[in-house]
Amino acid sequence: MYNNVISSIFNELLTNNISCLRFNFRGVGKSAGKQYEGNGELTDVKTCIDYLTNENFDKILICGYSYGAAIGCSLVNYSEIVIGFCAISFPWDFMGEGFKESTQTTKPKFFIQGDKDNIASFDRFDFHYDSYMEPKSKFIIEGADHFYGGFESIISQKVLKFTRNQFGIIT
Amino acid sequence: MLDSKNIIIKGEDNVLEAEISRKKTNQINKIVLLCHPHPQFHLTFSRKGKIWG
Repeated sequence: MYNNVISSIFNELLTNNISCLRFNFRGVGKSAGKQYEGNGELTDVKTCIDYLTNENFDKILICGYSYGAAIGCSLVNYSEIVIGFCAISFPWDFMGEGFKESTQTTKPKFFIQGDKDNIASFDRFDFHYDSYMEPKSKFIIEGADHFYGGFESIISQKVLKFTRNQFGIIT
Repeated sequence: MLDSKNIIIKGEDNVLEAEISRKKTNQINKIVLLCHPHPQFHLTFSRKGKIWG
């Protein structure tokens, strides 16, 4: 259960006393099943939201990176207790229009993007970003490609700030 | 700093490996749900060559 970006965010939230859940999609690590390239993984996110609901959490902020942004943020309207999302390198152009449609919401949205990313292409970022309704915000990381090597701290700080704002945590 | 623990989440058709950190005082009801990138894609294309471990 390790990825440089997700682990950096997880540790930053942990250090700042913000509760956090990360999980492996089906077919990864000790998670059962086979990868379904979308549909099954959407069910995985629903499973996590249902679990957190049963654990008496009443505000969930989804944060996904790349494929995890497309899949995770698509469940933003699944439950009222999901209050918004943060998407890092949302791969609109190779995940299909359906994922853009399912992530449309009046809830707060924050997009992080590297300007050297040619996988979740930066060239098309503003085109996609502009199609989202408010409230929304973005942060462009100069010099960062899709894998954000060396930029993990910047990302985790930005996610922490967005999370604090959405949770109403005053520092 | 919070402690984290490994858990298993059971869904209707799946069993997921997860790690949760949970605040025990105020802000107890708020949580961030983190979603990983595609494992095979990132394993194949990552500069470091090892993303998942």
